[in-house]
Amino acid sequence: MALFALWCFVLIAGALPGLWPDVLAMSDHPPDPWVLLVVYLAFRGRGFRAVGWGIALGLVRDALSLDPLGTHAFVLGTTAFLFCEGGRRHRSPVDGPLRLFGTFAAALVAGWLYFLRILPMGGAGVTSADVFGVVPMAFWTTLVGVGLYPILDHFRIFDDLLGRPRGLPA
Amino acid sequence: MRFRGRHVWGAVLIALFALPVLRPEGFPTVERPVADTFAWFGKIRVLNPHLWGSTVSASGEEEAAERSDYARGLERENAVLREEYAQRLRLEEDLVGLKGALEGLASSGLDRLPRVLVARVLRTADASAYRRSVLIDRGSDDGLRSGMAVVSGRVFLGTVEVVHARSALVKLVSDRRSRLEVAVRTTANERLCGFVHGRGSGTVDDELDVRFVCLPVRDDVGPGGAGRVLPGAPVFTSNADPLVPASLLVGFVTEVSDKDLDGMPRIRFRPALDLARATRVLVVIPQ
Repeated sequence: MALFALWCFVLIAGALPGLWPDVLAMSDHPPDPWVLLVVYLAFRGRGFRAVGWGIALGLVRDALSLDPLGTHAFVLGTTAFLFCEGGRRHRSPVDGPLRLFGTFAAALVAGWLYFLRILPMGGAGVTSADVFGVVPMAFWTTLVGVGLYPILDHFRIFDDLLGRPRGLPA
Repeated sequence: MRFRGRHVWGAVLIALFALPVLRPEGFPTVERPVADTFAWFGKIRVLNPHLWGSTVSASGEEEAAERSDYARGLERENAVLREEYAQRLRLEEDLVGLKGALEGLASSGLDRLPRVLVARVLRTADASAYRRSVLIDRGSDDGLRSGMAVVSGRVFLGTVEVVHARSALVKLVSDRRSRLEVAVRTTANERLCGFVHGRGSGTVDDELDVRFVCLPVRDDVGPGGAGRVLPGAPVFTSNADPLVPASLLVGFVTEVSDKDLDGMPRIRFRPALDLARATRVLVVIPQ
């Protein structure tokens, strides 16, 4: 069930980029559903479980995009590594506003990691517009998380992937 | 020292960081099945919002948008006609000299004309937020290969970049890693060539720069002058790439730097591609 839900999420995430409305420049800096899911898994999963799923999601994203294999696998894997339970100093559950703040921070980190990743590849350099363009993208990602997280919490559809017993509170 | 999860995942991430540098062309055997599977889902109309089609509404905003689209279409057509007219003048001059030579040719050359393949657009945005591509439903099984030009009407969209068996990713001209030689015509009807350089500002409708290796240093006007590039002038593909036909419309000039003040003169232009209207595109296949 969890794998099927993950598959559906990836299908939707792959189709979404061109469909965001042009409200408040949302289509210019669209929210990143891939980062959103990885952050959700990182905050909810046990130990380093989310890192593997982050890398797997990144590999799928690489296969669907122009970027060479390994680009998003590195970005999403590192983001999961930094924000997962194993990578955090405090093992207490991350929830509520703290989780949203974490999502914003993770989206920023993911955006900047991408530019760090493409630096050795040459081509168009990283400009200040790139660096600051990550901020509105992180904002929209967090805003989508406000609506999405309670739904995922309620149905607990990804708990089987994260080594999290179903008896635990949402 | 005992290895822990932290060390193992750290090593994997370092390996992933190095992977695209070591193999920038990727791993087609790994990527193809995944991409083709998702492309197959993309061909199913119910599962792909891009294929749901536009719903006709009588709202004023949509009518205005339609009118605006129509005006843009006319603007494009006008630019193409202007370029064709300029070409025709040159061709007529050449025609007189060529008539005698043509009699000696055994073949008309028609067999060497490129053919086109109609492809359906399955997705108008790249899975990566910072790249610009479209997914089409034709692949290597249909004879596509990397570098082929993709057009919508007379507008150049980009080149085929990643080819799978039954689908392909087209790198748009607005992609940050796009490289294309283009030509701009001045007021004195002189053709200037330069290279497109993506600005990579992260927005969907990025404006692009054209950097010229050298701009003519003669007077702008008068006999023998190179003329000026005016905002609104069309930008066309040049003939540097054998897989990209020349004289396809790429965009319109929006800003021209002062070549006397700027050591590296550049032109900024808005790409003419309109992804909202491009439901079907043509892939140009050279013979």
